[in-house]
Amino acid sequence: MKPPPFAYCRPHSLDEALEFLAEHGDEARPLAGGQSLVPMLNHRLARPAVLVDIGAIGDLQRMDRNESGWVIGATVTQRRVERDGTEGCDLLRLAMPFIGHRQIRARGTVGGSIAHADPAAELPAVALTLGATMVAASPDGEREIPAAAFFAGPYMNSLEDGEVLSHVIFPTVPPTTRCSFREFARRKGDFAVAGVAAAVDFEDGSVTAASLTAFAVGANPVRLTSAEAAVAGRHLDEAALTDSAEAAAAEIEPWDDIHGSSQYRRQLVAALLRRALQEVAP
Amino acid sequence: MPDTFELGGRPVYTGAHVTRRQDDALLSGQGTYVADLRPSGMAEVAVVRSPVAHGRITAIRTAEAAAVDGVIEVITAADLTDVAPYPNFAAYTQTPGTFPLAQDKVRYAGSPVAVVLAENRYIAEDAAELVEVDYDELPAVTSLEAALEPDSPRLFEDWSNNRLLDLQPDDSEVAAILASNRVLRRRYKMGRHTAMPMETRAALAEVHNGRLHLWCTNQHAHIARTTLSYVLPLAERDIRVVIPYVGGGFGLKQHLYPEDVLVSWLALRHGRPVRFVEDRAEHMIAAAHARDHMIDIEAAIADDGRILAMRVQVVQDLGSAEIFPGAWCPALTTAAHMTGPYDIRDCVVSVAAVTTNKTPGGSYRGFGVPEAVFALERFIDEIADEVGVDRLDLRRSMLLQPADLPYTTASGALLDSGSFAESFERVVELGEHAYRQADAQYRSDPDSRVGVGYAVLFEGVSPTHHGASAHWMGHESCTIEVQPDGGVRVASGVTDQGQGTTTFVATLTADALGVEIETVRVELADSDATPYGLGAFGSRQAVIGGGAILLAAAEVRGKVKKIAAHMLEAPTDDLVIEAGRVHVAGSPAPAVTMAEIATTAVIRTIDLPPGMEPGLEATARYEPELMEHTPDTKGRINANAAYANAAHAAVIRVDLGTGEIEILDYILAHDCGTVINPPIVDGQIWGGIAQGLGGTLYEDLCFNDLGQPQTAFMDYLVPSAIEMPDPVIEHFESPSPNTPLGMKGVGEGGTVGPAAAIGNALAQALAEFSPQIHETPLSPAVVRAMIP
Ligand SMILES: Cc1cc2nc3c(=O)[nH]c(=O)nc-3n(C[C@H](O)[C@H](O)[C@H](O)COP(=O)(O)OP(=O)(O)OC[C@H]3O[C@@H](n4cnc5c(N)ncnc54)[C@H](O)[C@@H]3O)c2cc1C
Repeated sequence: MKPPPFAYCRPHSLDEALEFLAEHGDEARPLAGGQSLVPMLNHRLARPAVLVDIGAIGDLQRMDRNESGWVIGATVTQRRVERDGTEGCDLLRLAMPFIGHRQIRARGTVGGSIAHADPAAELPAVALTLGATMVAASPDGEREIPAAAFFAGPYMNSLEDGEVLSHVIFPTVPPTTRCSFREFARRKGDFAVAGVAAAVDFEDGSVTAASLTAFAVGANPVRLTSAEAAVAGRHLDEAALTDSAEAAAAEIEPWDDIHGSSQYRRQLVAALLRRALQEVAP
Repeated sequence: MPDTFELGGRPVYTGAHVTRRQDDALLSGQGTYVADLRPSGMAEVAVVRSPVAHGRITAIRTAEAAAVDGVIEVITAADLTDVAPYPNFAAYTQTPGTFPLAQDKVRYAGSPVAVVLAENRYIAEDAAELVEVDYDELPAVTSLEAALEPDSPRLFEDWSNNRLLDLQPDDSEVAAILASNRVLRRRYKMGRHTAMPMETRAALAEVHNGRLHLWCTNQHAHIARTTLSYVLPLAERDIRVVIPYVGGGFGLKQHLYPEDVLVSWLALRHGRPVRFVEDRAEHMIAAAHARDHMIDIEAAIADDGRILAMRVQVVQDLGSAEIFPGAWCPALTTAAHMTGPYDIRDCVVSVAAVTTNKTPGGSYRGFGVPEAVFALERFIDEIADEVGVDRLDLRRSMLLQPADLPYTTASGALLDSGSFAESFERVVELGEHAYRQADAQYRSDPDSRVGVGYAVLFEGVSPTHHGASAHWMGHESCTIEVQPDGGVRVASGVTDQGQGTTTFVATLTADALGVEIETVRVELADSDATPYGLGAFGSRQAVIGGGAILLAAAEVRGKVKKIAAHMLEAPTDDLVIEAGRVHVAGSPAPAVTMAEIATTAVIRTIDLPPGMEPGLEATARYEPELMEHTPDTKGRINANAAYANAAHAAVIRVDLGTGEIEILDYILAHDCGTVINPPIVDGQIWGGIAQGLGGTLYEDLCFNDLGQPQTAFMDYLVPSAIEMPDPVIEHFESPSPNTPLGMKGVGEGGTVGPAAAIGNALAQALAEFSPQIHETPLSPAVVRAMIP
């Protein structure tokens, strides 16, 4: 478990980082908190010739709230988001404690987690549920990628070679939107076996908009559109919960692994979604 | 029992809260492990391991790896011309002929095939990737059921089947009882899991003046030395084995692994220090696995549910069995524990240990007992359900009562003392109370069900080594020397993996000599500095090592008193030793100090009593008289020096949506006879419960149909502090009449019960669904499948 040889650089500006990345092409890889990349190097699952440590770039460490939401720099640590709080973006607050352990969150970054696109990761699910925007930087400038188009398969994102995720915009939600984040992991801090995120808006007790997402059940987090449709316009009574949970279990296509079969993950998503909806019901 | 097993005076430290000797070093990061040793000129190895579970090696190409800058040599089995296969002394088994590197076949994914020796581990790993090995793949045998099939592919082609061990005792008496009674049959299985010590395996070999020094993590300095002399072309006198700080052994480090031999061979060949430090990925596939048992019980049942007779078949999956000492002994131990602490006089057990294309099984805390307890205690609950009697009353009707002791079990185990019924009743009292509270708390929660389960057990402690090695038996050794300044040096064959061995050695020595514990220096785990002993396994060190200490101390004490009597001009029998001073009982002055006595003994010998030999030192060896090494003609054996007992209760909540089991309360009553150090005993029980819970709920070493290991460390779920309940521990003390001070071992009582207690609690919690609970681990997915 020793990494193969690699070169390492630690630029202090985004431009410099982009230059290094452009120079080395697909031989280079950004290094953020290292909580996923370093184990991959040690297992020799990744063999970049050059690591471009983006941890010293001030521009990527900003965390501000503007009119559209929370703008979180790629290398802001997960622990900082958890500690500083993200008012108006409850789902993010609810999700943070599920990411690994505090030690992991102290180094792991928001951008690293999203770029890494682990199927079982929490932040991609939050991004999808809220419709976050990913901002990619390259020598040619910046482009925005909606969360729904960002994740491109397990551990794959839609950044081009030479592009860096510079920040993520998590929209704030109106106070009438109620959120729940539920996951089942084998031990506290483990990656989820299955999870559900919910942001639901109500008027007079009826659902006016529901954004429901399941994660750890496929290549990337998925919006549960049938489950959303099942609650649209309804009071979250027992029948609505059952309809939505059943719809969710039917619409996902989970995989098997040693922690559970596809069938078990369907049952989990149904149970977790039911509990999430119970929690948000006014 | 010689009366020299007395402490000789009033105990000051024994039974008291003596702080563990190594805690300061461990807590401040000062403990020196093999991975901290860096002698100058040290080279490191990386092992090339087979990715294939079963195959014939057709070619190995090492040239490209050998050409890498910084690589010293790449070796394969063909280079080890002067190395002998590990011996097998067990005539009743077939012989795997284990060799440190795969010779022409590989039998598990992870099997060592070649070794790269390089300037450091980074280079060694880079080069290891360049070693090319061609395999002719063979069909893999990946389960014990498959291994038992008559037409199963064979791992060892010169065997006629995959049964390394196959003991089929005469069962005619039991068969007759079965034939004339109601019979119940069940099959139980315990999954594969193993120890995950914080420190992985490690070995560093150096050559000093033509002698091999091996620093390693093995649990036995002397057995390791002797084994090395069998395998390497080296005389035993030319080998020194030293075991520095060890970060947990748990049985897994009982085996002398191929890497220990390989670094030794390379150090001898190249004349420079060579080190192997196992990484966690290797640990998952190349350090011993454990459990993986299947137990079939057939029992004749009385109308009230009592077991009249049992016929049991135990099958252990050994993996490839390429390990030394061999790993079949847990199956024999399972057999010996099949009747539990119950009055079941007729029980016959057949035992098979089969080879499969998986990592070799080996020793792990519990060593066959968790399997027996899980099967029997689940079985009793199932009988109660079947017959319609109360599961607690059914146990009561069979449990050994104080008046039944001493009791010899059907397998020959001599239960000379214990608190089987008492500890059970206490746990039931606490368990029922905790259950009622849990029930009240969750009754209205539609997603939860609660249950309580019990397990009551005995566990053989301080066993013979013969069952595992057919070579070593059961003694332990001790040398005690009082030095001229009155300080004491005690050297013993016992070893310390972090459990506090050093502390109990100091404790017993101090009390047995009547000196202050600070004046006692403990030397362990250096084969040059300690008398031949067998080290750590089977909760034996306090009992047997303690016996050796007491014998050596008695001899030294006798001489101390004789010298003191001469110096004080007082009768020997009137003297007492307290805090390192000898005086007449009841009058503290005049006194002579240990320093004065020892100075007389080794320096101013002119002052010794006339005719007395100089020196103040004794070496003693202790082997428990009642411990048997081989079975009688009916297969019965009293393989242990003592038997501890425990009762467990688990109160659980099951989440019907996720299948998750939450431990609400864990209650354990334990009896290890005389307690030397209460916090250490508690620590052993806590750790034992954690490992028992791990194997029951979380840990699972899975393989696919090709024999590919599926469980990386990330998926190997060792319970952490968060998953660990805060157990209630109750102590009972039934001293053994047959062991020094009445001590019994404590290492395993926590580990062996959780599977049974939790399994029984789950059966109660989910009773409305009539769940089939016959296997561990009880993962959430498995539990969820029991719920409609
Ligand atoms: C024990 C443990 C438990 C964990 N548990 C969880 C968990 O429960 N849930 C969870 O979500 N995560 C978990 N993680 C992973 C953790 O959250 C990581 O921090 C995260 O996945 C990656 O973030 P990082 O900053 O460490 O990125 P790195 O490891 O540095 O990088 C990860 C990948 O993303 C790329 N990358 C990083 N930043 C950028 C960027 N700005 N632009 C483009 N590419 C980039 C890297 O090149 C690399 O390929 C766990 C990790 C550990 C070690």
